Amino acid sequence: MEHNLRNLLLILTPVLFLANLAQSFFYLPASSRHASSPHMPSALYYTLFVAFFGAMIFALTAESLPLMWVAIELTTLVSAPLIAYHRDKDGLEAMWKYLLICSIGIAFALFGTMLVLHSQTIGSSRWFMAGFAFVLAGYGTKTGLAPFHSWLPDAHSEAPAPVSALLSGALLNCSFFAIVRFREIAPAEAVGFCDNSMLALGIFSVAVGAIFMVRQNDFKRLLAYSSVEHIGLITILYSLCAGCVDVKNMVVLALFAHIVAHSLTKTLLFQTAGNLLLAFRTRAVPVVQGLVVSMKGHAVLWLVGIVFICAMPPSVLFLSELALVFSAPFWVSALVLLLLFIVFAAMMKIALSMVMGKPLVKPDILPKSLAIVPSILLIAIILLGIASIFIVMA
Amino acid sequence: MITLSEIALALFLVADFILAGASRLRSAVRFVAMQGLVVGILPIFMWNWAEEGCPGARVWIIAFVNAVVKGVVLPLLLMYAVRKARTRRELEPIVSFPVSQIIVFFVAIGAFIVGRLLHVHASSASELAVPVALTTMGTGLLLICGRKKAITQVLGFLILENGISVFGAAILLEYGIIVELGILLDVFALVFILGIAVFQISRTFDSTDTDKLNHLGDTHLMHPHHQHDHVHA
Repeated sequence: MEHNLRNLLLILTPVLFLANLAQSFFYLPASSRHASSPHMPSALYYTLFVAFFGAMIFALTAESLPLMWVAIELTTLVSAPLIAYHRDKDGLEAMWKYLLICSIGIAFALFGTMLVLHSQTIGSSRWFMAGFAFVLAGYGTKTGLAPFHSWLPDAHSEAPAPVSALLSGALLNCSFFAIVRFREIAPAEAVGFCDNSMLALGIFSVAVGAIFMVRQNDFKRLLAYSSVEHIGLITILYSLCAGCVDVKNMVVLALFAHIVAHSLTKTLLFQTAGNLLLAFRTRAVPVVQGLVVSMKGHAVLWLVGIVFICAMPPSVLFLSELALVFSAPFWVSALVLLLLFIVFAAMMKIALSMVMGKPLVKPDILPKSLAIVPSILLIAIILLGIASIFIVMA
Repeated sequence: MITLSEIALALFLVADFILAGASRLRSAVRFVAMQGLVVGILPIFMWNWAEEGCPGARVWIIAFVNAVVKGVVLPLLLMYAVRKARTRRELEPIVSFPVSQIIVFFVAIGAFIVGRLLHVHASSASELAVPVALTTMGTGLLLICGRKKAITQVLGFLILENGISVFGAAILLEYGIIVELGILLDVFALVFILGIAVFQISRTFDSTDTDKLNHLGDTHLMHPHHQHDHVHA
């Protein structure tokens, strides 16, 4: 399964990279026309952007576990300056938090890697469990699992839209894959410990995401907490099927489908949110109202994106979350359903308040090109959803 | 019998105590530099000379590069950042200096108990190594969490990293040269970027206290008068 997941991510990551690179070409010039604060030179931006992609591919393809550590630390290093694209106080603060919190996490992951390698030399499952705990906390920080997620909302909300989208859509998956690799080499006695701790962190992440989405006043932070929620769901799905050899298993397929659908939908949403930020010059939800009057196209992109990320059919996420609810133990399903209901209510309330009503302020006119990539993504997501329904029916 | 590696590890422990109570940033950087040098040379001290003869080129190269980067290059970089950011002392730490030293003392006791409980590799070079590694990691974390100056937090990160390296040396872990140099390169680049960030923070905020970095959060957009601060795009 590790092998299949790696192949999937090796296809998905370049797709997301290209989508966000294309969006950068449209977003950056528009952004600098609207900007009041200084920003980094675009040559540096594109260099770091491509290096970020390279580091992620390096992390996915690295064979040895310590080398993978080097690669994942590299993703932090090259993506941190991208978060502080706008050289103002908030950008600096987000970058500092991202660097420091992720580096401490990654240092713990190195310690955990050492313990795991040592456990393999001396053949002790207790050492493995200690190592896995550190690995889970360490790479979990980078994956955005609660309670190690505190850098994520700040970084995702401060970064320019294509970077937020790539962080959320691609980087979280790559660091999740690092945890998967350790889980797949667990000795038999440690399997229960690994799966239970992942399940617990997964549920906690969904809960934290749900709680912070209620009454959220910043639409980019809303999407960031939605990422915490979805990475929690992915972790729960994985803990239900970890170590499964049969790839045709329903839960394994649901896991793969969830990863793909979440990445694409979240990219669409972050790009749309970036465009709204450019037009309204604020991320405050109360200011953005009446999109359906002032920005019709973006109203559709935003509302359909939110509906899809909330797993309404025909979203692929509906099928994967259905598989989760069917295959999890009863209390897990009940809890997850309750939390998903809260998420749905919170996100729809915010999305509808932004789309409906009378416009409070008149948004700036945006170039049409900014909507190209999100529109393509929207069509792709709808087609994927319809296709997945036909596949399940057949 | 006291070996060279044990003397080196004891020095490491003393440096931890001093760092927990150091307020002057320059002297703190010097002690971190000393730790870095020891981390570099430790694998050679720990080498089993009697049985395995002279270590190969791989060990020498890694030891040399480690000692130069962690003991000379990074401390020089940090000294430069201290000078540029015009911060000379840590004045109001979140955890006071005497309390920090007491905490490190208890962490050390705990680390020695844990080291006794864990039967590390039978051929491990020194019984001191694992406790010293754990104490150093604890000291690093304490400096990251209990100090306000951005530069002290960077120092704390370096100490944490040193502790992890000592642990690797203690369990005689061998990654191969590419990985060792890769890890070193990452640490180097990280401290480099953090140094630049410290400089930018001191220029933008007129201070390197990280408690000034508290603007982002989940509530601030609720206050209407803050909204205008958030106009970016």
